[in-house]
Amino acid sequence: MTNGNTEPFGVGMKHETITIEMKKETAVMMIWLAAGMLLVLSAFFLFGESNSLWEPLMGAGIAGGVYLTTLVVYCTRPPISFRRRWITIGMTALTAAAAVVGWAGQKERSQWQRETLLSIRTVIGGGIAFHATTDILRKPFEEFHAQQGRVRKSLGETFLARYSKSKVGANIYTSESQGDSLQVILERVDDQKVVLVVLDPIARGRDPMFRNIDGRLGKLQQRFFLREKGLTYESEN
Amino acid sequence: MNPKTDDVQPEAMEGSHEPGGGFTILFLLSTVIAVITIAAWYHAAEDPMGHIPRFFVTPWMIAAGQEILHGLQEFSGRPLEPVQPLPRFLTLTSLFLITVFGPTLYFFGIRERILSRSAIRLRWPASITSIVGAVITLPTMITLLLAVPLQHAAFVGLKEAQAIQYDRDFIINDLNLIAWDIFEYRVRPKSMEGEGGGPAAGYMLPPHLASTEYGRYAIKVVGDQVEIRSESRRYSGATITASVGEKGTLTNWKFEGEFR
Repeated sequence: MTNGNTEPFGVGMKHETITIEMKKETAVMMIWLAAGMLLVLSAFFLFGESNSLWEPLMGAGIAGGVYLTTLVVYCTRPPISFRRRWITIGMTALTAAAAVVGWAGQKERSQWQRETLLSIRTVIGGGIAFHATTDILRKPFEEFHAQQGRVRKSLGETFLARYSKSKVGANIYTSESQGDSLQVILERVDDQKVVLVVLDPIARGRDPMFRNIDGRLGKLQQRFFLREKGLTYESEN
Repeated sequence: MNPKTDDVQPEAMEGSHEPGGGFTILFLLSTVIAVITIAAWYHAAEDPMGHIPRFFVTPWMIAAGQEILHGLQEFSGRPLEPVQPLPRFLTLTSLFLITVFGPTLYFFGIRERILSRSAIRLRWPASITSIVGAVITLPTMITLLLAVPLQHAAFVGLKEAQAIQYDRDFIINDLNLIAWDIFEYRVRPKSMEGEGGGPAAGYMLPPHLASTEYGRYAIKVVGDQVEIRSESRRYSGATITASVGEKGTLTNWKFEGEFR
């Protein structure tokens, strides 16, 4: 007995049933996809316009993890065998654990690298500050000690003779490039000593609450004292 | 043929291979998903930002790239820029792929395969979606499992390299201090406590410069030339040698051991 086509009637019925089942399954899959996307999307934008990707990623990651857990439980429900179910859940859990460890590790690494960049900037800033200051003080120091005869200029006078346009309180450093923001401020000049305060407005100092000479907070600052005997300095921040 | 007593022939149990309307939709859907997946991978390879890894299976690599970008902006003294739309989009896309799209297609496909095994052969459009799911999910799983020990080892190496670099930088700072001290000795007249005046002969390193937190220093005076040799306290065999010029400038740098 046939249904008018070439197929036996019973097989055609079973074929239609399976086709309907598969269409239903596809529809269910589409619903899952839509729900998963909505969940992850909502969690991602829950944190608004943050300055970092970690917070939105954490929120969306947790939402994704919840979705994945329910998905695995749903897809491995009976009549999937108990053994196959738990193998699948175990592999998924292992992969999720690796993801969490990788995530946490990568966050730690990137934050360490960012901190390291700032520390490197401080070390470089200190070296540049010393180099810039000694460049300024080298000539006056040489000229002061090269004086012959009874009439000699004081150290301060020798300094001002070379840097005649320098005023107390002003930045006497000439930037070497557009990105060079170092400041060398002439704080004091008298017969016995010259005091320079060097500020790097970009390099981070030891104390983030330290008030710098120009009113900034927490930047690298050193104070240099040039006397007849030589140079000393204090690292203020 | 009696449907109750006659066995249905096995061949007759196989479903029709003639596509219906549902087949077309499924085929198009599978094609779109495959194209999006390939486009996403290709876009990742383009690396438009220059800081994002080409392989964004792991969205936290994008976040890490953003963190380092902020570090570079702070290093340069530039204000921190808000996260651009592109990294946000890539992070979200990556998350969708590895937590929603890939696993959904994969697990649904697996379930269909298992359940359909004893019945008719699985229709090939459904197989494509499960293949796409597997293409996304399985490499992701392997990457995640392998990445943990590899990244940890890389991090340990990076920290060690950075510690060596720190040590080197601080020793160079100490050498600059010593060079300036030698310059002062040369410039100061002999009348100042019997020191200096002209050549560097007679110069001795003061104790606070001969040994610091980072290294031990020794000088060799040959005529008017002074050579400083430093040895790291932390890294045995790591040395830096430099010559001090008349104006206190350092030249003829030589780096040995870990500092090379």
